[in-house]
Amino acid sequence: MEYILKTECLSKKYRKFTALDGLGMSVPKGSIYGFVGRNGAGKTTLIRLICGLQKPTSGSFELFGVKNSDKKILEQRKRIGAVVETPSIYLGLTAEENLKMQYLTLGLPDYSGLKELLELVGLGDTGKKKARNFSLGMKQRLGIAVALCGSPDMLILDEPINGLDPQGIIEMRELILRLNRERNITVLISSHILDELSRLATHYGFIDNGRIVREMSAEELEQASRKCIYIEVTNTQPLALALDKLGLEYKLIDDRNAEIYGKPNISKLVTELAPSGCEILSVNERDESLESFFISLVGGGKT
Amino acid sequence: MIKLLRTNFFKMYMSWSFWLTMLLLPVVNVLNIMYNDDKYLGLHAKFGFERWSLVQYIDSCFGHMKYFGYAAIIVAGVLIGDEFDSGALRNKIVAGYSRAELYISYIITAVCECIAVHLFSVLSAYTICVVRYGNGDTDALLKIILYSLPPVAAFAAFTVLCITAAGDRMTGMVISFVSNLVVYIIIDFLIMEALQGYYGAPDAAERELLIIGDSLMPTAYSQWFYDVGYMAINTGLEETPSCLWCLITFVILSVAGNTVFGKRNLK
Repeated sequence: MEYILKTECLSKKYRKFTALDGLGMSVPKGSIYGFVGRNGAGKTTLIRLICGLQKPTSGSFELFGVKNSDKKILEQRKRIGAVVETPSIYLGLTAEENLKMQYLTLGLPDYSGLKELLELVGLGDTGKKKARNFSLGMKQRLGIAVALCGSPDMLILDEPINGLDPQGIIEMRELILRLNRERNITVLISSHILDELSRLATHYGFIDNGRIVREMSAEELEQASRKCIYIEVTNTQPLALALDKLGLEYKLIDDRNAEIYGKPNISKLVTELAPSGCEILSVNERDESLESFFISLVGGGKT
Repeated sequence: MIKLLRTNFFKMYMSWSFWLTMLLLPVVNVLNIMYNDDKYLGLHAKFGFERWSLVQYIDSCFGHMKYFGYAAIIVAGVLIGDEFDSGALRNKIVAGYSRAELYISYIITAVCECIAVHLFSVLSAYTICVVRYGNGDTDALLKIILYSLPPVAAFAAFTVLCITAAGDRMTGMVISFVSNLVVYIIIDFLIMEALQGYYGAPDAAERELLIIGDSLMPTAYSQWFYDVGYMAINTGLEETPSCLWCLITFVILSVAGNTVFGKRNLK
């Protein structure tokens, strides 16, 4: 697998406070990498290090295969666009002027594509309205438009849906998905709004106390947290035979309890179990969300 | 670097603080001319000058230097401070520029911005004087303008340093304002009095040292352009401030700012 970003034992200390503690993560090319962690876990610190806003205390990272200690890292940074915490926009300028500023910064030959970019983020009709008069959602989208100038290969979004209303959240989600699918932009998105992240991410990195607790793909997460039925029976041996017969995936926990994945037809199951005298004592549905999975990883008491 | 400067100058062109200061600062000189009109005309007649002498009436065109430290805070402070406050600085770092490149571009922009405002103030007042009092001495004008550029640059560098050290516009501007005021009131005042022999007449060596001290501080250096006791840049009768020492201040402030910016954890 090709990785856009790889970190190795990355640490960042502010005097006595350790924000990142030997963090290691890998962001695959073309993915939407959901960076999950509670407030203060180190998400924004990592993003600041990658963007060059701060320097790591120890450890290293590779961006597009170039180490951060290499002078060529400055060239590689041109291939990323970022919105760190708040959108980086001039409030006294219009949306178009903000993009012009970024075009000039990047040294792009002309302003072609500027209108298209504004249309893409839904700000095509803002005219002479100054950015200070924009809603929070519009500012976020303008921040993304600025980050998209120069057609980056990777987009880093730090808490992009914080403070947005439901409509704004939906628009942001659609925009991120469109950028990933249509423009093949790799997206690193940090958030603590897990439900929203679960609708976007193809890969996850769970961070706690400055360390990656676990990295996994969306499929692996689904596998680990998929819907299942907890069933309690008088004997699990006939249950196993019946489930095999019905073609259902399952896991025996002990002599009386089992987990069944998928949706079993309970009437058929009862019919299959009846000849062996096995009785169903209780049935409970379990639906582990990203949230509960995260809590199981980092410990619920602390959140 | 060229790309950065183009961006910064585009921002300067769009900046309200730049145009407002450009508009208001010359008013200081215009008011000076209006206030001293009789005096200028009287001196003209009394000493029988053949032409209007900028050297004698320096405060007509350079009176704004008295407030230039504060003008620089508004002009450069708002523009460069906005880079920190808006987060636009982040975009530039992500765009692959080194911190040194960024800082140098900010210094160049701030200096150019301040020089533009300064020159406009001088030339607009000079034009009024030429119309009112007749032809002036352009050689003297150019020479005094050259003398006036180091403190203008140093004021700009000091403002950028304060904003960089503070990390946000408002705090940086307040630090810059208070520092200018403190230097003006305390240090500058003491040097001025020492130079004027208030604490006993200084000997030649002491006088040279005091002038170097005066030249090192842009607020003090600026006084040579509006204080009648020191308006002697081209007369040869009095000591003149040292451009070189003031430029050294500019370089020190710029290097210090670059070092602070290079080590700073940005948000």
